[in-house]
Amino acid sequence: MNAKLTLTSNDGQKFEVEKEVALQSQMIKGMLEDIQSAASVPLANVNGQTLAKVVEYCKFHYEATKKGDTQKTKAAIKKWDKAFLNVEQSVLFDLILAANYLHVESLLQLTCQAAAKLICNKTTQEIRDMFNIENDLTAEDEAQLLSEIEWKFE
Amino acid sequence: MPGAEILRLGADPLAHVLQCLDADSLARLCCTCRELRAASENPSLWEAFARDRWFHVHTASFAGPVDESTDGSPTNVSNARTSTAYAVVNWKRLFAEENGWEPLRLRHTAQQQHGPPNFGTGVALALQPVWLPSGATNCDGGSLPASKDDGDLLLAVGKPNCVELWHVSPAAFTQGFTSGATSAASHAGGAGGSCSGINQQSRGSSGSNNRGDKGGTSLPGTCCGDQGCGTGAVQSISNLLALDDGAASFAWVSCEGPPGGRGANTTTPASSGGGGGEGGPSGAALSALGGPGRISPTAAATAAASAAAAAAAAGAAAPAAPDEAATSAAAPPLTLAVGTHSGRVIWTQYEAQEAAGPQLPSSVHRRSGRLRVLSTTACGSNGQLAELHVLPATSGAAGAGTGAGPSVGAGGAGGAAGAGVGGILAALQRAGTRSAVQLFDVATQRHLATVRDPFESHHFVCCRPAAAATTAVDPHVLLVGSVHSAICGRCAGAPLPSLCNHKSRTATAALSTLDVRCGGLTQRFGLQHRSLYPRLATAREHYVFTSHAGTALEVYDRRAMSVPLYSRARLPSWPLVKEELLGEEEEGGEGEEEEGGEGEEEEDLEEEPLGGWQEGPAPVLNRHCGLWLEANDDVLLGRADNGTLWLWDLSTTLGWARGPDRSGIWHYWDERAPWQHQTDEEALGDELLVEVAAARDGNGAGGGGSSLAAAAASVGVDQGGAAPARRPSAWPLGGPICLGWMASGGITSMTVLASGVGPSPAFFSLGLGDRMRMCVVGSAMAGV
Repeated sequence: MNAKLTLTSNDGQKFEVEKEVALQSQMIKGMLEDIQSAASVPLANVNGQTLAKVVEYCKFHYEATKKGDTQKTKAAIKKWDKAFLNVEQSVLFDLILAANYLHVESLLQLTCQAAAKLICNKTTQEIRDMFNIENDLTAEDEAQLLSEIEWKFE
Repeated sequence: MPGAEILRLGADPLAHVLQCLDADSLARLCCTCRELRAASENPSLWEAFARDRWFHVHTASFAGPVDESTDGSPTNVSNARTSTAYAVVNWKRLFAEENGWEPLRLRHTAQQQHGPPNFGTGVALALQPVWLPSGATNCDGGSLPASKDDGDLLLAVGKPNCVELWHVSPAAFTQGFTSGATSAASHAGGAGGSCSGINQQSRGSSGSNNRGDKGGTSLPGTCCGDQGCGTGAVQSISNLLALDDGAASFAWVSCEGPPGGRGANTTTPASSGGGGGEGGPSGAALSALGGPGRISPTAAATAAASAAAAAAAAGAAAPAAPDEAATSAAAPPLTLAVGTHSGRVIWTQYEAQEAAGPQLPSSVHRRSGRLRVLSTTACGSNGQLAELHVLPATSGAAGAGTGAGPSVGAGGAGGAAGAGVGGILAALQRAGTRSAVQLFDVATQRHLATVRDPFESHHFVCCRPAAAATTAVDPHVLLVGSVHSAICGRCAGAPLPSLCNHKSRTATAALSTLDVRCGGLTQRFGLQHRSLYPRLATAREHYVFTSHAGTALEVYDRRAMSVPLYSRARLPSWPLVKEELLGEEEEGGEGEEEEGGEGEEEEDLEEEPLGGWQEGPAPVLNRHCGLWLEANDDVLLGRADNGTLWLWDLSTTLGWARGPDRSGIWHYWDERAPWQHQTDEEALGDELLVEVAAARDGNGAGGGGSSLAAAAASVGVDQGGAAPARRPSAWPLGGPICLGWMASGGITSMTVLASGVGPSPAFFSLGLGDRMRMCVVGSAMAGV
């Protein structure tokens, strides 16, 4: 039977996962290498809701990896990832932050691409509206930007 | 307004997101607020941004012709594969805004047809062009009228018994090559009054499928004195310099200091064009002046005196007054080094003069000139000097002559203007298995040293300066190619014996570096081939291009020579005529295995279609696929023996166009290519198919009825709805984007390619042979 590890979020929620699942996080892996007897890992920068999603992601990918690297598996993973990222914008950014903190490279790549996809093919104003960005550029800034990358407005 | 979600990501996660954006989205995002602008001002992002931009423009440029419809809106009439994503880029407008982005638009400009192939009847066998800025040389006719495009192309053409100089106006590349050689023809005693000897066929826009002998405007050669025959863009001066032993190669040198003898200082050398084919019969050479190193005018009163004397000697109609000559002679004299078939270097000085004559219409080009012999230098051996290259002295290098002095001989020791500032003229002397590189000091015009391959079983077959004359990097290094001497009997009698690959597999060719400061080889790299086409090309300081019997193009990086960066085994070829097929069948099969393991591509030749391009790599035949390569920093041109010219765009492969300061790395920019999930061979096959399709449609990549086919296949358009990424793909090593090909085969010809804009490359290529067999005997590129 695989060893278990307890991950504790910053709001006190605990998630018991197999050690191999948790080892997808390079941060946790490094921590366990330092403290081999650790059975609980406190994660101060991740809240419970986000950690639950991260654990879900790691579990699925760990199981999928065990099944083998077939085309069917790849397609299934791709489909699952797509559904996994069907979340609100704030959750997506939380996942990016968590993946960056936990150093889960595949999750970071996946979420960053999803965020980039939100931005693609949108105008400047649409991006501002989508992310609630306040335009703090002065007229001089805008003129300079215009001169630098004039072609993008064609 | 609540805080922006994206702004709480912090620097690192935000950078990850930005890296996933395409160029347009990144630009738009950075325009939203100051914080995102600051995050986007990551140099690496912007560099990729710029590259992406350049790539898109190129993609649009060569995806296919964009026709302006009657309402002014661009309509892409090319294939649908390339019209979906990038056709929206108005690249014509971008280039028209003078923002420095210039597309490569080489076009077929001219083709000179000689008579029946005959090595001994005045057929030019080598060439090298160079740009000559207006007023750059001493002139006996006063100030030359400034050319509207600031300079001419000076082309030295070698014949078996003489050297000719051709002045080519930049207008020739836009108006087509026609002659106005009234004055020159009369100087030379050339025929006049008729254009009958000139092939005046115009190459139509659909000429891409023609064999070369069916198209092409003509260069005038030495005939045509009819004023009304054209724009006078080319002036031919024949029989300028009689040579008993014929010219095999040339090198232009711009010298400061006392002209007319020893003691000149090299300032701006022009790379030499090659001589005749390796081991080929004696013939002639073609060279031109200008090129990468433009002549910088400097005061030289002695040159004025020389010019005046030259004017008197020439008996010009309007001799210049001394003060006029002094005014006009503001540039250092130009020296043309001529390598002969008997191992001599003849140093001549070029003296420009105005083509006087009130009868000349204003449109006629009015330049002419002559060559005056300064001295002759022997090297102790009478083998053919097949290649001449000038290794310039630079201030940083303290003059190769000086540095070479202690080791390789006199090296700048003498000479009135000496001071050790001179260049080295390196000549490849082909003498069977004892080929050597002969080094001459330009300043003193003396022979310095003979360098042979220290491996007794190898001999040199080609050489090339490691860097362009304009770069200060390794000006004293010569790259030398050598092959094993165990050449089989059949190949030994062929025009290119170095392409023999019937040797032991251990008898590999090699590339070596020759440092003229120490007069010997300093590095040696074994290649993965037994054969080596006797022509090397270099670009951007450290990239080396080679061609082999079974591999059309291979790219090496001098910083890591262990494996080639890129290798292109075979290129599509013209279908063989029936007789040739039969001949190949009879000859083929014996020992003609492909290098690099392409032998499995062999096909049944009888089933190959005739009358059109073969779709896909050519079958293995009893014929090499080596290319005569010429390159500058942005363009690589290769001419096959069947006359096909291949053009690769290096700017899209190596980064921004032009400039060794932006060398970049050999990287395949387009990771979104539609074949990214295909194997390498599949991808190449697709690419070639599109090239062929474009060619069949007559889609010229350049303007003016070019037969240069667009090679849209090299660029991908499949965005597929996913966020395009700039991250390096799994594509391990990419190749240059092949812009297309141009068929220019046929009977002995000189083909001229030129860009439509600015001082971009002009490419001259000489072929010799008949329809059945043809070999490239010289190619050269001028301009940057």
